[in-house]
Amino acid sequence: MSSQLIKITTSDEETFKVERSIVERSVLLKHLLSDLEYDETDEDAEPIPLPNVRASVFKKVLEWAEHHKNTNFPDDEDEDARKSAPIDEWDREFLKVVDQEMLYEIILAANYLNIRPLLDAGCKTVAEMIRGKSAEEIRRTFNIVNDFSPEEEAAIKRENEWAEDR
Amino acid sequence: MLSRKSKIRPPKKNLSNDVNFEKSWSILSQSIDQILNQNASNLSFEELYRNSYNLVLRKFGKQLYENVKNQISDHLLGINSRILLNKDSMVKVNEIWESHQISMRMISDVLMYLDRVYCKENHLPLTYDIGINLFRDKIIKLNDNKIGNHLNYLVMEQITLNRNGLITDFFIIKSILKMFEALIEDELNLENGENFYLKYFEPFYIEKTHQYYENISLELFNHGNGSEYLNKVNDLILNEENKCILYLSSISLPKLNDLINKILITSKIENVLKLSNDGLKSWIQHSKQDELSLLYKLLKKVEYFDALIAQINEIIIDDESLTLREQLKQDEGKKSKIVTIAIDYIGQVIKLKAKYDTILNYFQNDPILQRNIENSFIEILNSKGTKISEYLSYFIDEFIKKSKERNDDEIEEFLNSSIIIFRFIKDKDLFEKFYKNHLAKRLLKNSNDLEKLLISTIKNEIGSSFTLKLEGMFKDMNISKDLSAKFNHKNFQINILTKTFWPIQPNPSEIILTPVLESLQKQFNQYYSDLYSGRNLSWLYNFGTIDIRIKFNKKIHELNCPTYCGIIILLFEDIEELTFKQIKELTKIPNSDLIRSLLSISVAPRTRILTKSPMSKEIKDDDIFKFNHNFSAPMTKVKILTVINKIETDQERTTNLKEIEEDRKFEIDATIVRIMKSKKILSHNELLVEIVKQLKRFKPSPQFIKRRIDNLLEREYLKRDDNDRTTYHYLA
Repeated sequence: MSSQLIKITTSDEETFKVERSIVERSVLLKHLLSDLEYDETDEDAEPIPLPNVRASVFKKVLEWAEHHKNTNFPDDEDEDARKSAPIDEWDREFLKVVDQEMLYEIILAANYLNIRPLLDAGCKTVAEMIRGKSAEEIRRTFNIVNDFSPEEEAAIKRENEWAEDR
Repeated sequence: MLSRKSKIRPPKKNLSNDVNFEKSWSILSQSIDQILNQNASNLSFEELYRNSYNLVLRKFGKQLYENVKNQISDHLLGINSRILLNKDSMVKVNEIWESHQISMRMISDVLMYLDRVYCKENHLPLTYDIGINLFRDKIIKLNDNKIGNHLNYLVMEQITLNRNGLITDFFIIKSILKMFEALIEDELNLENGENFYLKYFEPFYIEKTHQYYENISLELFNHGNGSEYLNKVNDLILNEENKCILYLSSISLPKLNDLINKILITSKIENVLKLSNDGLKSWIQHSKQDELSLLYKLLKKVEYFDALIAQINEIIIDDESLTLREQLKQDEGKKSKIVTIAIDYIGQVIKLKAKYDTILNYFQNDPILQRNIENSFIEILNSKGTKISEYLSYFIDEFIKKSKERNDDEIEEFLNSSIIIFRFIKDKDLFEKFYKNHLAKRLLKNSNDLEKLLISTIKNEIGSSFTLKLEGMFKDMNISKDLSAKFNHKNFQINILTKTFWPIQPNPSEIILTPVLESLQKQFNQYYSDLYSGRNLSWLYNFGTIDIRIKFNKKIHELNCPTYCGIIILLFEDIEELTFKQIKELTKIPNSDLIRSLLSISVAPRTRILTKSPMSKEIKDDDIFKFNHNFSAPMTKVKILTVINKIETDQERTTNLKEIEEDRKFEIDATIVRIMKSKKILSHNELLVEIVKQLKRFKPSPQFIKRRIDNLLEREYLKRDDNDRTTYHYLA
């Protein structure tokens, strides 16, 4: 059974054949398969369209899923525990080598496909980019226009003085 | 503005930015409609998900959420108007419920992103829960719970039919009740909150069930047949227990069981037991195992024994007056000897006890019931004052005297019976008194292994302090045996008794012994005082015996007779005839003993060693006694028994009672002083409680204790508190 693969077509019309266990890393696809009573043994089964994901991004997602094939992610609803957990070492390397546009797309895809561990890893990677940067650096990094008046900015600075790392 | 260092850039917008709510919603709305109507096969899951995903992503979550809610609500209202209230409503509603659940699962799957982001962030019920809540409000509870009430009624009707023996489809009932349980009333507490089942169904169910069983049990009770009641109730309970698990929620099971047990058992059992023709009394009289076992099983279920205990107590008391008192009356009517009365009475008690042991066995030997039954026995047996102690002592005496003819089983049974009765005796010191008198007499005649066995059994039962003096008596006997052997006089055997151990007081009057006896006595006195200087020997002639060989005309006979008789007979060795007065002067035997002894050797029919003239049962000073050369008996050995003086036995009994009273005074005094010495200050009531706790051998009345306290106050062992008259101080 496991040899039978599920066909998935991305926004750029590329079709992937993936093992069911890998596909089910996505909660979206998992529910979809069960609701449609999808039968992967059926050769003529329609491929599942994923118009929100590009082939290159989906490839990366599959790479991630393949690596975590046997990982057992804690299924806890405890937001705090999940948030404070450090990024998995492999995930950190995996997300480091991709370019930034790809990182964003992976995060969006993870959100859309509902793959929580990948979404968490992506968001934490972005968070680490912010960590330790000054407001001005962050603005530059994320291309944000400073819309505070100088007075406003001074006031905020005063309020947050205690948090400055001097 | 972009710094060259910066590595982060926003992603390219490859998703369509311009989301049109109306357009997306119309797609979703149509699809949701199709899903709700079980017609979802043509829909694209991904498309619906993507539409809702995009809507939520573009902040249309609230609109989407509200629209979905309204659409489901409208859909359900439409269905509601088509539901008819009739017998098939259960099946119909169940169908709707089943398909609604499926639809809602599909809807909530495609709206997964709405649940995940919008509902979570705003702490709103998830889509699926909305669907369930709407089902509750728009189907079941609409118009004052119209459908809900109808379903309650239908379910209850089916259950009642089943209780009456008809076949019921528990499947549909179980489905409906499961649905009720799924309909949460308290939306803030999904896990443990109240649900429709608990709020509407269960109270209704309990009420109807109550009515049902109340009616049935009344009807059953009115048949007036206790066995029938027990059996039917047992069947009803079993039936209900078996059936209810098929449909009822596990939450309700304990409530249902409690209710049924209470109605069928607890509230009715007292009156059922009282039923005259087939109730507890008749079951006990006929030792009905089935009824009694079943009764116990039912009562154990509810842990309610009060009614049973009260009635058993009454029945035992009735039983006692029927058998025991009847026995006593018969015996007293026949003027039987006290030994016969005692043996009959104890026999009846044992029989009665055995009967209740069997019954107790049917009650699984429940410890509470056992204690109560035993208390009833204690109450009965001690209600007639000292009799039970005396009877038991006679019973034991009689058995041990004849124990040589008994086999092991009989002895075992005897020991058990004795201990059972012993346990029931409240005034154990009184028993000790009677028992000691009997024991002393037996030991002086001949010792028996059974005695020690009985003593050790009693010791196990109550502890060594009770048997201390009794064991002392045995010790005396053993020492005496050795002593007699050491003294080494072939015709002399002596028993030395320690005064405090034995219930026998030394006889102050000295008598004149024959020369042979006197020299023997002197020898022994000398021997003993050499052995234990400072000890005083006092001779108790009336407990001894003498063996005399006499050549009569026909044959030589060996007479075994009490010392006094022996001394009298020996007078006639040289003299042919003596008057009573002369005998009295020559022997100095106390008057009453002398009369008794003479009666046994001259009047008692088989042992006329002397002839008396005139021949009569009364003895006067001038009556003449002659040696009877013509005495004959079938055996060579002749045993002469002293005639028992009945008046004296009665006197003995009253002295016993007086002695007991004195002993008790000492013991209570000692106990009070011991307690007060350690506690220093105690209130009257505290002291009473302590005393009763410490006294094991008898149960004094509070008045008696109070008199002893007053006495101790007079003797200044204690004083009353200056302020509180009910508090005592110990005076060192």
